[in-house]
Amino acid sequence: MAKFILTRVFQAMPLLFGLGFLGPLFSEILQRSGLPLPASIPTLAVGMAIGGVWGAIALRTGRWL
Amino acid sequence: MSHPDLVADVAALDSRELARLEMEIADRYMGGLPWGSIAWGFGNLVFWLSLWPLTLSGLLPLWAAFPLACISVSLGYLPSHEAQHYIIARPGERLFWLNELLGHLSTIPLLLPYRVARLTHYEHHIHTNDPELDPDIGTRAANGWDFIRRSIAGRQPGARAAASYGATLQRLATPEAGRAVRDALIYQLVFLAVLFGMAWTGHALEAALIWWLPRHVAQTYIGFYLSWAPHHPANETGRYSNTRAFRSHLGNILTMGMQYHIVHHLHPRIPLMRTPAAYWALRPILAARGCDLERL
Repeated sequence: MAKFILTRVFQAMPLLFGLGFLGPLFSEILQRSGLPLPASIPTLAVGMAIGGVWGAIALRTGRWL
Repeated sequence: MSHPDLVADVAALDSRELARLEMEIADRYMGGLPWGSIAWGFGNLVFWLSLWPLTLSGLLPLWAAFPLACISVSLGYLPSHEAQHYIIARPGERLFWLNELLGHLSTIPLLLPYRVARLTHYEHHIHTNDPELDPDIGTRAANGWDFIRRSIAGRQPGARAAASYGATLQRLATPEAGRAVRDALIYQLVFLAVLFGMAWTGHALEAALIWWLPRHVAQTYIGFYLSWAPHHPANETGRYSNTRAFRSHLGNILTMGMQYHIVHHLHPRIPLMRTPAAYWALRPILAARGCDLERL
């Protein structure tokens, strides 16, 4: 059971990494850079969108770059 | 430098006599406790760990911590490499615990479990440059830039090279290999927990610049000097042809002693810091064996 769960977790890792790490990382970068965002969009939402989409692409293609 | 008498003498020796003389010279450089590597391994880990509180408390700016972390993580491998070859102490010896402690701790920043490193590194020694069995064959590349490109490509989620250590452990299928796989799993889960935990508590940049990115830089640097450069072009599998000596513009220290890596492959129990001296003592024999000694 544990093996099954871990296998699934590692298979989905690019997406999890995009959401769990890259999203907040991009959010922090946006915050520190002081780039103006349209309306009142929170930086975390933008970060999560970038991290999530990039992670999903990496999951599908097997490549980050 | 090699003694001129030895250069003249080896030309007259047959293969058996060369082997005997090679062992005799190599033996002189083995033994003793490599205190330099021990201090390096533990000191480097403490240094890397200290970067966390220093940056989180604002005492050290992140722009300064990043290059320091890259250097520190890159320096984490070689002390463990000494332990992998039981250079500090062999099983059953009084200081074996120190050997194992150094082996386990020094590669933590690199996220390379000691058991994985040792088992796969032994396979690399046994099967150097074998396209099927050498776990480091993924570092084979046409030139330095090609290596960097391949190194980055090899770390992508779907890359074959990324799975080469796992495949080697699976092939070994020993209880020790099973423990190594378990270690690798634990290391990965702890690493991800730290990265995710720091990211969601507002410290993603610290995690990225002290661990995540420096580890990528270190993997490229270590792969370049410990694997690609000394084995290039990595086509030969013979004892005297699978590794070469090379001269780098960066010199001995910045290449982490790898210009003399050929000595390590021939005599893995010679401590790293003695390989330059051992190389110069052994050079006439290596030349007589037809080794690729380039301009060194």
